[in-house]
Amino acid sequence: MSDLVVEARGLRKDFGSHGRAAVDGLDLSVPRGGVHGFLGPNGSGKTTTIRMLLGLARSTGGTMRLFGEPVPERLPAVMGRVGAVVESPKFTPTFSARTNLELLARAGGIDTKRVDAALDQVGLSGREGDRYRTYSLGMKQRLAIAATLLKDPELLILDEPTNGLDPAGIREIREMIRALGAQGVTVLVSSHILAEIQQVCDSVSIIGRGRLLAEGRVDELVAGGTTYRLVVTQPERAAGVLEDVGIVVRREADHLVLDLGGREPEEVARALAGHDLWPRELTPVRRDLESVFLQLTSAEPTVPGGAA
Amino acid sequence: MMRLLRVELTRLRMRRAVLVLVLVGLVVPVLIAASQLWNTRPVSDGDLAWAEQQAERDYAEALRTVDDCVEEPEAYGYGGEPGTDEARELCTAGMADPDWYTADGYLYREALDVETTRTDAAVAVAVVLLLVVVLLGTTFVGADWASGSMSVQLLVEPRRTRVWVAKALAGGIVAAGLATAALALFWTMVAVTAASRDIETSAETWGRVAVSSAWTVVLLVAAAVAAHALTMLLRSTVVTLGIVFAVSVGSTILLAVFGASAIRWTLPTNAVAVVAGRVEYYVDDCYSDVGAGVVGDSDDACLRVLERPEAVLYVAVLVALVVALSIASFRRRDVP
Repeated sequence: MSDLVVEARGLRKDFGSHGRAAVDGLDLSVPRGGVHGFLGPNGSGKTTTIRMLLGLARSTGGTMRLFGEPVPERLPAVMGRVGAVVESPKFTPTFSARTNLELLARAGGIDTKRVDAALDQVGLSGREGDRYRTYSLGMKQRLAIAATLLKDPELLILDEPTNGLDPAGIREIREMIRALGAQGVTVLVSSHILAEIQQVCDSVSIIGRGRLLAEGRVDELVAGGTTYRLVVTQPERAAGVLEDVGIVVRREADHLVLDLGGREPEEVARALAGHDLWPRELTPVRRDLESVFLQLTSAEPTVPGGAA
Repeated sequence: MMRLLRVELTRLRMRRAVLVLVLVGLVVPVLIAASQLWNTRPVSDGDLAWAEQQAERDYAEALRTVDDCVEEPEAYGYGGEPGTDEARELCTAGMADPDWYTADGYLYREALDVETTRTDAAVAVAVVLLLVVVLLGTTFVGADWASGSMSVQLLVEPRRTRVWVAKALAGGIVAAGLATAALALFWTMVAVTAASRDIETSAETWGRVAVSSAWTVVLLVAAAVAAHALTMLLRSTVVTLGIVFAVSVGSTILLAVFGASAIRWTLPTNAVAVVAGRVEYYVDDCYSDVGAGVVGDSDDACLRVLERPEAVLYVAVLVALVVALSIASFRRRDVP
């Protein structure tokens, strides 16, 4: 059995008569267990990809698998193991939250007793009798997540799950995502909020203009290419010395930024000391996901009005 | 499938718009029946007294006009010398014949007749129910598209054909139940009233009522399913109702362009033929032949009949076409 829970190869989705590609040959691999981020700017094809995986949109090309089963052909066989929130899901506005969930549970052959547990899990107990249309955006989002929990899913796909939530709600949802990941549920979280992905995800796929730009563990992606900040009394002279030994130097207003290219920081100190130059500060500047993301997507302009 | 069907029936039952439509579908036929029974009520002593009073009053008025006429017969279009017996005779014959002013002439109320009710008031009931089930079939799934909840439903049951069929069956079952209940109410009122008025109706006539009612139920189920199918295809209640309106207008255009012979191809005519068993209509392109003696009496030569089997085939083909298009579209198109 494949260890990949979600797998897409050469996935493509064209829109309109001119065949504008919202997803353009995307490869995506989500391993079993943990929380996997699906990161990309608005219009990069995240939601379209998720919608294709869930059978809500047809792909124009490529292949997709969930739990090793080809989809959409075998979607009915695997959908019971998948919970999903796509964009801002809508429920019947005139029904209460409980009624909406009970109807979904019955349609999916799920024990309606799970409704209470799901409502409780997202903090909607006590408001379950209120009509959906009276709910705030955050409550609607919680209800959508509750709907995914009805199935006790092995794979949870959350598209921008914290949209519309207040800070406390965002924290709760993040904690819930982490907890589910820790329980062995594979969670695929789509977001354009970098901090969100970095805080909750173990691994990440970064896409731009419908193509995969990078994929891997978050700590590996941010670890590569750590730079150093150097403060020294004679920066111009120090820059010359370091460049002579092959270190890439960028001059800033009051300091130098060094790309050691795999060298150890001791080599910087040794080279400078050999020319009687003594650093006042040499500190690593760790890359965060934002810098990786911006670097990767800087050449990938967003598609105005495109599908997210 | 049964699980989905039960869910859709629950969803239908819980919609306020559906409950209102069902109520309308039950109340309006009762009102039509009440109206029919009231208009065919037996003549009472009070009615007779009123009619005699009316006849006497109008006859007296006519005699006064005759007096004026005798003075100026030419002004009233009669001959004879003014003031003569001849003028009076002519004016009286033309304006105040006593046979015209009897109570019977004022009591032009028809007695209750089950066969006439079947082809008249029962057709009106069918038309009302048709509108109700079209609205019901449209608003039910239209609400799913309008609220955006269709995608949430498909995340639970991704087999789209099953979802389509479950919703269609739910609409069809409610339409069948409503039609059966409304027609049962209507005909029970007619039957009880006919019995109370000692109006004898043959078993053959009641047989035709039963057949008409059964076909009405079939037509209404087909209409509900077609409305559902059209809404699933167009994904909007408003657009679907616009199309239904356009079909009505289209029938008028069809008649204006192609003449009376196009009646055969209009949806309303075929629907009435399904309910009533047949529709008679006259075409206008045969009158020249009648005038030229090519064919005989114009009433027979220009009369055309649309029988139920042809109408059923016509409606069935249309519904099947819409259903096929709708399922194919729902299976293939992206769901927002």
